[in-house]
Amino acid sequence: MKRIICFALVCIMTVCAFSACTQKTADNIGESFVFTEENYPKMGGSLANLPLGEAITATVLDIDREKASSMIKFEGSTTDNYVALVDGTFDILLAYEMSEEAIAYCKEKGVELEMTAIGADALVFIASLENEVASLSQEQIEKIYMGEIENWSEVGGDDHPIIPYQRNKDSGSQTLFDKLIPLGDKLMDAPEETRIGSMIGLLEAVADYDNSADALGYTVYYYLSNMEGEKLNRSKILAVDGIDPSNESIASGEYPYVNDFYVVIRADAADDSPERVLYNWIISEQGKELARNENYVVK
Amino acid sequence: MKKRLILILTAGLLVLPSSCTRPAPVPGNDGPVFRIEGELPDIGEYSGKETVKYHDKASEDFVPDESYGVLVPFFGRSKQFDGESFGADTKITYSSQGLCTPDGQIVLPPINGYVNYNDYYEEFPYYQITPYTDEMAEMMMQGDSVILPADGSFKLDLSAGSWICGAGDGIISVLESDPKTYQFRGLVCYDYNGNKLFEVPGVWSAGGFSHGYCNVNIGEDEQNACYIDKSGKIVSKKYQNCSYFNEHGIAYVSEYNGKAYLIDSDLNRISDIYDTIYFYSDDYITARGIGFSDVFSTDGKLIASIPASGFVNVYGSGDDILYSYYDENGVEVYKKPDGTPFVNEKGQSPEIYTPVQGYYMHNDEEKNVQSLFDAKGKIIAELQRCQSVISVLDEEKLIIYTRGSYDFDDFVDGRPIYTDPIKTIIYDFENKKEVAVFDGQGGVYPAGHDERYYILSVYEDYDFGGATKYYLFDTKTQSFVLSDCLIIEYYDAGDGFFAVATDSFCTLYDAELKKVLRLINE
Repeated sequence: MKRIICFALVCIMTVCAFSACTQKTADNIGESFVFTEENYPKMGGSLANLPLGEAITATVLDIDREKASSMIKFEGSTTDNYVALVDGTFDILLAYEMSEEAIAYCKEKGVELEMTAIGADALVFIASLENEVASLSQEQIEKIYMGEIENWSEVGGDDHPIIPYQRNKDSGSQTLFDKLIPLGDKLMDAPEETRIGSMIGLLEAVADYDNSADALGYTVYYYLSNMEGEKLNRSKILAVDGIDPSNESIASGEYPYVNDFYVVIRADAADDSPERVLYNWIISEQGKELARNENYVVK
Repeated sequence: MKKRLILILTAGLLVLPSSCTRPAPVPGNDGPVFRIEGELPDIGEYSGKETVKYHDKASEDFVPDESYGVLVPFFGRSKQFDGESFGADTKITYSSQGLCTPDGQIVLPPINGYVNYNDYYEEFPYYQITPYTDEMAEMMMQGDSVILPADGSFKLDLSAGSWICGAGDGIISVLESDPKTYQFRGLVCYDYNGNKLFEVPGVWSAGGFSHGYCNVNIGEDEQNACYIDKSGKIVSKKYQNCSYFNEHGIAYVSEYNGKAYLIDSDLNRISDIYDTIYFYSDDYITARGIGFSDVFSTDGKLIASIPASGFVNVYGSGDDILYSYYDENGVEVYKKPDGTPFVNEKGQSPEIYTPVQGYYMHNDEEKNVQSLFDAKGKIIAELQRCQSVISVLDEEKLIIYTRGSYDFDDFVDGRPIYTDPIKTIIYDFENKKEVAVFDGQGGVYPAGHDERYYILSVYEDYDFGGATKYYLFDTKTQSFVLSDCLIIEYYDAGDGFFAVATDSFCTLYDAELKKVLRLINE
């Protein structure tokens, strides 16, 4: 009997140890993956994520940023990028919120996407340096874009009409605006000349508009402060509810109009596919460290 | 027993925890992983300041402004026509060009058409912007053009088919066409500020103004060539043909009876009468009589009289001047100024290949060896299976040539199988070694200042119009500073700029290849 007990204990421990070894063997399937220019996933995304895409590519492939930038494509609208991911033109995206159009396209094609928030950005409002107004409340912003406030004098500025620029529907900026300031049908119809088809176009319109003191526009914080900083020689970022957008106020959530941006792949990407491996690396601590180095607000 | 149990349990305590310390599995991650050992590498900062974004506004017209200074073309994206319709995908192409300033101001978003920089007329370098017509875009039919000077300070609107035929003496000469028939309907002249000066209806051919005159063809008479002055008035008799006045104020004219001669800027004859006269090059004027040809320098001085019945070609200058013509047997002969045959050091005469930059070639058909030699007859290289010499860079001791042939012995899937496919070679003839070899037919031209750089274009599938790749070769380092590019162009605007396009974006570099701007489409 005693022998049976001992034998049983040894067997049990042997089985446990063996299964642990087997488990360890299963973990070792996480072998090192080597990225090359040939197997590197086709990367696209929102324009404001271009520096991050460039940095990831340069770091992972151990090449310079110039070369890295030639391998990625951060052009077109955010919706275009999601469509391209669904269609297979891209393998991985760094992008802002999906628009309704993009969501509908995924459903139409029966493609499921997998996404993880990797950072936060803010919807910021810009006006001319000549404008005396330095801050708007959320309520004032809503009323301006509903057409209920039409003059800067109503918000503490000079007696000038407000020219509220908007973005095209398929842009990431507009998707962000619609999510954070859900006016729905109450959003005023923008005349064609004030509906701008690009981020740079809107910035130029606000900065260079003939009656620039009247213009009001919006964009994302990272893009303006890190990629188009020279526009701040002619325009300024407004505070909202008295809170200036900054990396700190975005990270803390103190600035009210904050939203995430994502790394996205097709959900059916295989475990050993380059895009899946890269996706996992981007959401890892190393990937987050890289994003911080690029001055993004990291989740 | 107790001891045995304790031993087993102790062993178990050692084994079991170590088997449980495996890392918690990452959800969905049963595959390989990527990790950088140690610290992240220093990749530098994002050069956002140098990146300019442009957006598509195909309908936007160019807006003149005196403040632009220098304008540089860049390449944008256009939709591709697949033979039936335009697809959704865009591609950076030659047929999508815009204009920007070197500091990144987009003054013309890319148009579906082309932007031509033309500095042929030294006094008036200009851009011609020609969009394809909307209804004929798939056929790449050119629409109305806009001409603007290199600084963009004004613009001239031209109907389709019109073009600048000259710029000199402060006058831009434009042959204006009828937009429906594309027939020229007259000459319109402007000053260098874009102000219209006068029109001369009925002109269907013209040069440019020089020494106070412009040569034109007007009307339907057999003698319809004449000169007009700077008010548009016809001031000469009618000729069968008349040339522009060269830098020395010399022109040639021919009359209906076939008599040709040189005239000066007072419209007086200054030479003998010949059967034919033509400006052979920027350096010579040749005049043909019966059984001879006279060669003049461009200031009208007779420098040689060659006993030849046919046209005489003139090569080189000074001590290196050579002449060629066809003898009575139809063989092209090369002669020195003293009339003796020109041959190389092996006694071989040049073949019928067009001489490249003062170099000549003899072809040994039996051995399929081509000897390349200079104007003194010194052989600098003997090339195997040379199909053509593209360029000789004598200071750098380099030859760029193509090797192989277009002979084929079979067809597969409608494509010829070449027995000796064409390759483009950069050859160091001093050290007798090949610097680079490309598959395909290449072309090369100098770019930048002092001809240090050469743009090499290579298209592999030369029968079926395959993709062309562009390279930039630095003769100083004998290396390629840019490779596998979609487009490389050099513009002599301002201090000179290279526009280099990849699949993703266009980059502007200055003449020293320092990056100026990167342009991407939003």
